[in-house]
Amino acid sequence: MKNLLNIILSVLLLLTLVACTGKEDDHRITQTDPKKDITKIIIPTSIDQSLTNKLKETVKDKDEVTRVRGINSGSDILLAIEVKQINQFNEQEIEKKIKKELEKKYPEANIEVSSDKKIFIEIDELEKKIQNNRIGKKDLEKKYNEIKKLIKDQA
Amino acid sequence: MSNNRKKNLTSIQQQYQTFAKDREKKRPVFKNCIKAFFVGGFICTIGQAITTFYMYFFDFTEQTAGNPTVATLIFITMLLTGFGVYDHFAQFAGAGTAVPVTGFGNAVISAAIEHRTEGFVLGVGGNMFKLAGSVILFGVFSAFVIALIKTILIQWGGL
Repeated sequence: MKNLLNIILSVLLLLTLVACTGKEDDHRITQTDPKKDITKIIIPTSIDQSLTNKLKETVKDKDEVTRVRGINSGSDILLAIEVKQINQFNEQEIEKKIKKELEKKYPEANIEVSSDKKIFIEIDELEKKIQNNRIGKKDLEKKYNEIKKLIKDQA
Repeated sequence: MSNNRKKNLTSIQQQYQTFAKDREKKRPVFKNCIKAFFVGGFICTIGQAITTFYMYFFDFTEQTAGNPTVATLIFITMLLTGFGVYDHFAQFAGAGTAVPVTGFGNAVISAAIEHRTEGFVLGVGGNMFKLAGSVILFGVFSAFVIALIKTILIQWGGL
């Protein structure tokens, strides 16, 4: 029993150590409103993110939405949202509603909205990388396609 | 015992029934519920942690991370049952350990262990799904019925 406890403890320790490495520095602007967690990439960066910043401004006013992250690769935009706990039951509907609204407002952009936690984590990391100028245009496009594939993955 | 049968008993038998009923240990239903609530909740917390782990370190989304999570939980339960640890949890928490998916793993392995002496094919193989088989059958059958209803609604209901 003591041996088992030792193994479990060492695995947990290893997991924490793994989780602590490879973190990106955060230089983005964060919202002053304590109820909303919305980040904005400070312009200029090597890859233009002004379109996403404009979109975030629109989504910010939604009551149900608490956190927003987003990136754009050209006019292809990925937006990840997190909704209030009570709205988790119909987050897919909220997601669709926001997508429709944004598409109406920005008809030239190709917008993808997701409320999935995984997409949120990925885009959050990507935002930091863009802010720190640590990702090229080609890599961003590749990453964009990867995330889009994850959104479409139904399995 | 039904009232009808009670009437047929002699007065001494009836007396004995009430005597036994008074001395019977009452089932602590509320306490059991509380225990099941907390232990079941704890198992679900572990499940949530595993889901988060799969999302952070692998390419699983919130929707797809459910499959490996269930597999991992069942695997852990199977090991714990084999080592004889899970029985103690189950004795303490009752439904708290049976209702989450861990109960399924426990049902499979405990049946396999029980019939181990009858041989691998007729014993373990034949009896492994004695308890859990009904769960699988019910799951598959109800999924089939729901799919049928959905198909009918979409095809003819215009949903």
